[in-house]
Amino acid sequence: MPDKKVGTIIPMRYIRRILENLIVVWAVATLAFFALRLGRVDPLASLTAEGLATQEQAAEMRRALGLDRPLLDQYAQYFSGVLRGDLGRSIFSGQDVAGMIASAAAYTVPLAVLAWILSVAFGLAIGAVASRRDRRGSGMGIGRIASAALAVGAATPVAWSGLILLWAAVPLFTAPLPDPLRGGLRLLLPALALAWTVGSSIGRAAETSIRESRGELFHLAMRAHGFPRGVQADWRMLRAAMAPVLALAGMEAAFLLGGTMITEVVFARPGLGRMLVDAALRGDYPVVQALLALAALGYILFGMIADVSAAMLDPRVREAS
Amino acid sequence: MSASRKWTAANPAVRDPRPWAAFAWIALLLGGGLLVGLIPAPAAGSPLQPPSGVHWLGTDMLGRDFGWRMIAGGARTFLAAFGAAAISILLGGLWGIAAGFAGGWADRILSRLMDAALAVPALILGLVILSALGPGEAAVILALGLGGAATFARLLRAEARQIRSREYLLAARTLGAGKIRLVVRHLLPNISGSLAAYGALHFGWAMVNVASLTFLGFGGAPSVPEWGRMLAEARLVFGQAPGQALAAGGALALTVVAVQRTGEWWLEKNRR
Repeated sequence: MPDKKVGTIIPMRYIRRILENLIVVWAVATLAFFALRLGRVDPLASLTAEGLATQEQAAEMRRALGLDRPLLDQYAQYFSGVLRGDLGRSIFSGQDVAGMIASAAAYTVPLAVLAWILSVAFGLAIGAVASRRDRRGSGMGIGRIASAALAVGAATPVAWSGLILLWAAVPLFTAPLPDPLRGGLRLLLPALALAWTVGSSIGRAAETSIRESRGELFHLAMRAHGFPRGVQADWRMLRAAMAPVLALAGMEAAFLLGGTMITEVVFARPGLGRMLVDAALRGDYPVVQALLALAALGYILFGMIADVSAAMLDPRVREAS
Repeated sequence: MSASRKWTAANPAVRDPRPWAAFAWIALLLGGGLLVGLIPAPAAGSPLQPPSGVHWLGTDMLGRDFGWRMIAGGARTFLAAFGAAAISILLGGLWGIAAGFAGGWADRILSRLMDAALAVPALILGLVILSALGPGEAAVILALGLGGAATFARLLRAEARQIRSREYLLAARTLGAGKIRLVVRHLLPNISGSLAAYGALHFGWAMVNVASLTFLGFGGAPSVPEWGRMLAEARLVFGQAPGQALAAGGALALTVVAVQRTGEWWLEKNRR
């Protein structure tokens, strides 16, 4: 039976894919390693420019950190560390990079999770409405408004949506609110700012995908069987149209790290995105390398989750693989 | 054609009229930028003036004419995004066509490189390239251009592989056409339509990200007007002059929508 076959084939395929993807992560980390060291931003020059060290201290640090040694030596040392689970130390704070990531992630992960949930919910709801846009493309029906809102939303820089939300929320911050509510607001506002842009791109994918599945034969068959064109049919369409939406939602989950770079600056929150911006501006090599590898890992992981769930939702995807 | 093909042809975008409003906005932006380039910046006055006869849109936090900077900055951001998109298309095009046409192990290596580049969000990739190049406007353009190249490489590799298996290409090969001739005379004319359209969509991405990176402080000199940096400056005085931040960000979003709308129209027109 087909189900049994799927059960035996999928594990092998995914094991192979995991191995291939580990090579990709290694390649990303390696390229970053050399690109940063061959580049023009010198962390120790930033250190002296910021007045944190004198020339002599910087020179001594360069020796202590091994940054004066041949690149291949540094590379060998770095990767033998990584294999033992040691991501190195920040050139600026001297802290353990793994520990820095863990404490920053405590701020970024709740933000990213909430933003992602909001994005998928908004995206699917508004995308489903927009997909009902009038076929002749005229008039100002609710579908057209939703469609236009998604186009503008996807084009909005997070820096701007965040600012508008902050502006709108000023009365809430001055109002006497109990502390837990205030804390919730601090998380909700940046999450909404992210979901504004990310949800809009998910919504656009949902819009196209749902509209296209209306053109499929199975939809014609459903209508012939007497399914109404309303909400019930929409839900069925949604399920069939989920594969590209899921692929995008998976990708966006990983891209949220890019989005948090801006959001965390606008909302003055600590977190992974801000850590990356600061490290990149000053040339803190170990931090940038670790975060880049983390981004690649996230992308691959979420991509695989999206693939598996697409296969669970849509029988056509299962059969194709 | 199959029934499903006939049904998708009812897609509303096919019947969409030309997006005149989008064309007009882009023309206004570039024309205004050109015009403003010819006249010098008005002398700076006191900071955060309301709109007046001298400063039509008031002054920014340093007393510079806000309207002049909006128009000059718009063209600048637009051109920076254009440069980044052009680098992505050229580099990604070469990369993808080489992979798709070469096949074999060269394709395998080039495709793995695409996977590696695509595994990192392009904005983060751009940021890392930027941290190797050092800040500056040209560096932002180059970083985003390189960061977005893999997207195009994957797209063009797929197109190249698809067209490679067509009969007319086999015919041309049988007649002795070399690889360069195949690419220039047969492949490029066939993909130019979709290339331009995807380019326009990618341009929107580049524009948002140019503004994001300059917003974060990676751009050129602060005196140079540019929408992302202006948004960052307006953010500091948001309490006194919220209109400035709204204008800088809103104009950016509108421009991106206008260019993408043009691209979508072009894509549908070419797909038919």
